[in-house]
Amino acid sequence: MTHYPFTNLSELAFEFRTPHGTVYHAYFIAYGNLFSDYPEFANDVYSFNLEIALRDDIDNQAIDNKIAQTIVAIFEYFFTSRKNVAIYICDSADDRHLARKRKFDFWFWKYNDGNILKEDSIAVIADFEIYNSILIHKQNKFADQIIAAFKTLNERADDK
Amino acid sequence: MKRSKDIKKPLNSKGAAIFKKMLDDKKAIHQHLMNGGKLSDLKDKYQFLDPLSIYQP
Repeated sequence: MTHYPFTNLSELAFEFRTPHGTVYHAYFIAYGNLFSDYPEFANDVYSFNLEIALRDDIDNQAIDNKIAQTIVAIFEYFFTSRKNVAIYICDSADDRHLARKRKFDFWFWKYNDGNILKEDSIAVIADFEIYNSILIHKQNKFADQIIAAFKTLNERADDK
Repeated sequence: MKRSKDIKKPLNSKGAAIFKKMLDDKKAIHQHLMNGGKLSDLKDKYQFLDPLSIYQP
């Protein structure tokens, strides 16, 4: 599998550039403080985000599989630390979150070599839904507990 | 006195606050970058993972 070379940017993110000049930043943010009920893995939980830092001048609509392959390579690097956990949130700001979810799911289905476990769910907040996924290395010794915790967090709270 | 009808309200997920915080942060960072800002402007506000720190042989 070939991917675009990625570099470290200011110790904050992975950066890669397509031949058309589009620059992407992929970054992980720690959210251990939000998972204090799960001390066995709280400090290893990160959200994953991908941003276009610079868009090419040409309106290039062609599908570029190397972008997906680069994201996969970044995750492979991320999971060199087996205990790392990534959560991916689909931004619903522009009603394209379902399309983003489908693309992310497709990338996972196509390129996962079987080492990464993924669980999908929907969190409900008042009148909107947040599509979210968790990714864990299968050698993570807390995998079962992490997936159970993830499912619990997405369950509806009892309102009684 | 009439009893008001039960108002059905959606039940939040147990981790609603966690997912909302993640989503709000994602939106804020996106907006910051759209406005010409840089990730480095935000390094004190969010705990970015240093890619160099990941690899642990």
